[in-house]
Amino acid sequence: MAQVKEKHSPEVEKVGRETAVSNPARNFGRILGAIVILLLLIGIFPNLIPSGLNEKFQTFVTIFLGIFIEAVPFLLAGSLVSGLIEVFVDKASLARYVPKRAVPAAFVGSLLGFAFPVCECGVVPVTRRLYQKGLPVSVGIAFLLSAPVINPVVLVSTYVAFGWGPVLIGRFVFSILIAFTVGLIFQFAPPDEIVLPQTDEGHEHDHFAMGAGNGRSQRFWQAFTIAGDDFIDMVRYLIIGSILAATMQTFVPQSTLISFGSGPVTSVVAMMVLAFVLSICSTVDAFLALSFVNSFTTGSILSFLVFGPMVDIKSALMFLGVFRRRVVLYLILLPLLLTMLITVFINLNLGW
Amino acid sequence: MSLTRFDRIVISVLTVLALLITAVILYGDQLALEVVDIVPAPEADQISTRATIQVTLSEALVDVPETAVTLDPPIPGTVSIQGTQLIFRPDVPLAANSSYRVTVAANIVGENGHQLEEPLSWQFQTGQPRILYISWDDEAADQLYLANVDGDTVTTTPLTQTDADVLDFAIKPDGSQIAYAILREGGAADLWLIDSDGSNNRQLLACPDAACSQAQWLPDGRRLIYERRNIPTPGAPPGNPRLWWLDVTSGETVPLFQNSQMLGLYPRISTNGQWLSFVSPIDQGIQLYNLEDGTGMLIPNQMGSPAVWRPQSDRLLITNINTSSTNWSVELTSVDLASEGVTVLSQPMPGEDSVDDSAPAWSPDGEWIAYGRKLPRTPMGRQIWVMRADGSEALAITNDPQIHHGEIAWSPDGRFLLYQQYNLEELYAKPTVWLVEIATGQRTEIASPGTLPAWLP
Repeated sequence: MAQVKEKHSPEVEKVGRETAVSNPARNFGRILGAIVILLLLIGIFPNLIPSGLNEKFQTFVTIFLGIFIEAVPFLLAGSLVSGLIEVFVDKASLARYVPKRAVPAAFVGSLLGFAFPVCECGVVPVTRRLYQKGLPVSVGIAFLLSAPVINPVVLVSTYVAFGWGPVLIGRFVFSILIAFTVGLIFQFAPPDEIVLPQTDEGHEHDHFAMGAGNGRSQRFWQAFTIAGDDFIDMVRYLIIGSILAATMQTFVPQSTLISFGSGPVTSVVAMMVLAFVLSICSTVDAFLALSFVNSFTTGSILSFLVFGPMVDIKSALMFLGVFRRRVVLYLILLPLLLTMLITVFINLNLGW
Repeated sequence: MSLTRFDRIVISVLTVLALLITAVILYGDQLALEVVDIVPAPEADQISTRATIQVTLSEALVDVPETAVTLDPPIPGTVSIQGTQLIFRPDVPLAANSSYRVTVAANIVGENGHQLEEPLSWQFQTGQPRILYISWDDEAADQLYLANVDGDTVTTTPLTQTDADVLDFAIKPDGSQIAYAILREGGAADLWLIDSDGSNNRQLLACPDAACSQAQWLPDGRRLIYERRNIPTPGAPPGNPRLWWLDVTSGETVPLFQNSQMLGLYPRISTNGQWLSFVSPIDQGIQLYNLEDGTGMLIPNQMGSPAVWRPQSDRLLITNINTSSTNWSVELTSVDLASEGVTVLSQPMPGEDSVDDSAPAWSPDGEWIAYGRKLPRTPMGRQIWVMRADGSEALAITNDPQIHHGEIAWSPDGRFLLYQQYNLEELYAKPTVWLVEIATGQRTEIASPGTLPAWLP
């Protein structure tokens, strides 16, 4: 896949960067960037918009900025990890440490979040980069779905919110179980059938690959450059996802979604839809879920805490930057049905 | 669009998952209401005769039939729900030293439609009511004491061991806890709480610049109303009395009335918790205040004695002074809440034209009244009498003119009267606590010294 070039001139580097993010994509990115700047200005100066449009639009802007600003640092961190992986991790080492057999591979993938603690925004560029480094598809899928929960930050935040009990244990056990199961299913997928070509082939930064750089500072600079490209590439999806999520929340208020479900099944559906629409970061979602404790069963709260970090509007949009559309649909439906099966069973049979 | 092998695998998995979810849903709700806690605990003994039966369930209850909780032997009572708690409050005290079996019907329904798998049944044993009173220890500090009476044998034990004096106390309706006031240096008083077995003694409310006392429990056992008098500087005389709420769980306290000019003392709460009576010095009377809807009424009264609620919460007794140009009487009057009619209960003894009755106490069934009586304008001690609730069949229980009796309290079974007495002819007489059996007149000394006796059911 990635060829190691002996040296890289400034011209090659320039070409490389242009290839990484193509001109039409750059133009689209600029348009989205302008939209974000405009919305930021509106957020700071609400009087910029006509008074008739004020209320709904202001709500939309507030929600959008809330989601976007919350997610951007994590995407940045994920992009940075991606850049560091590109420069400092070589394919051979990765191949050496990742199991070949299906079950251990999926299991390792579901626990990989402890090695790369990233939330659902940061996990996408990291997964893409690991694929470029030759990570097996099943491991990457399990990592993609579990890492937003299976990491120390989310472990601590969930413990602080709910303490030691069924919510904390259920969230981690079921997240691993679902990620592992979906990872196993993807064991049957040929990589070129599910991953977008540029991800699969990893052509982008071949010239930055392991051993290409000379000094340590130069290699770090290379990592930052790649991180910047990754960030710009993925932030497009984040912006579109945030716009969609904000639109949904503006026109379908949270209270409407919550009122939809009070039964053992409908409450699970309501909480999963809520998690999908809210697109809240997994590092803080436990505190929001805490406010539902008196209204919803533990099973329903688990559906919010397990499904939300795996798939929400913005992360689903970001998946489109890595996977084919059909696969993105699978990545939504498989965790959705698995989560629903587990949590509805809990609500109807265990009564946690 | 052609399906690949992987697509077919995923679609198969999705189909299986959808079928499993459908099966789980069709199999239906397999949950039942679970019992989280039971009070009194199964097989518990020495339980208060005023105990409230509480069952905490796994989900909030929505509707419960009146017959959901039954006792064997049968005891009438009221069933209510409070969130996840099913509560049964007996209308009458349980019999002492008796075994009761509680049965909770399976058809109580939780908010999610769940029911108990089967009727819940357990039994507990009541104990002998004990006597709580104030006496002083070796350091001359007033403390709470407990007395157990077994036939003629009385055993007393100290309940509190504070450095300061216990001023007064209030027993929680179910007898499980006692709120009491402790006087501190400078005249301030704090409220404390102790379990009736002497454990869990803790400060309930610190009143650094006030004297907080005269606590009265609401029937739910979660709130108190107490009297608060500000003390601007240590040692200064307490200011005007005002009534305050206190949430026992959170410790939050707020004035009962928004109007800071509303003064009140001697709060008394009806057994059903609907009404509060208090002495209103500004209005020169007893104020009745409906705690549920905020309505009220004033009963003119110049005595300033607290009202006494009938256990059935429909009437209250008030001590009233009746003056004329030539005479005066201190009379017991009964006020009917529904009709607001006032009935004078005290009748002069043959050959007398006036009475001096006071310190009334309702019997547990509300059919009799015990009270103190003395001859007007005669230097003698107050004697204990009983009469029917309509004032008829007045009967003297004691006849010792040199002894002054007071603080009368009926035993939960209505057989005994507990009281405090004081020998008027003794130079340094100490108050003592006694018990008298109404039917036989047999008396038993409980504590010497001792004041403010009350039954700890």
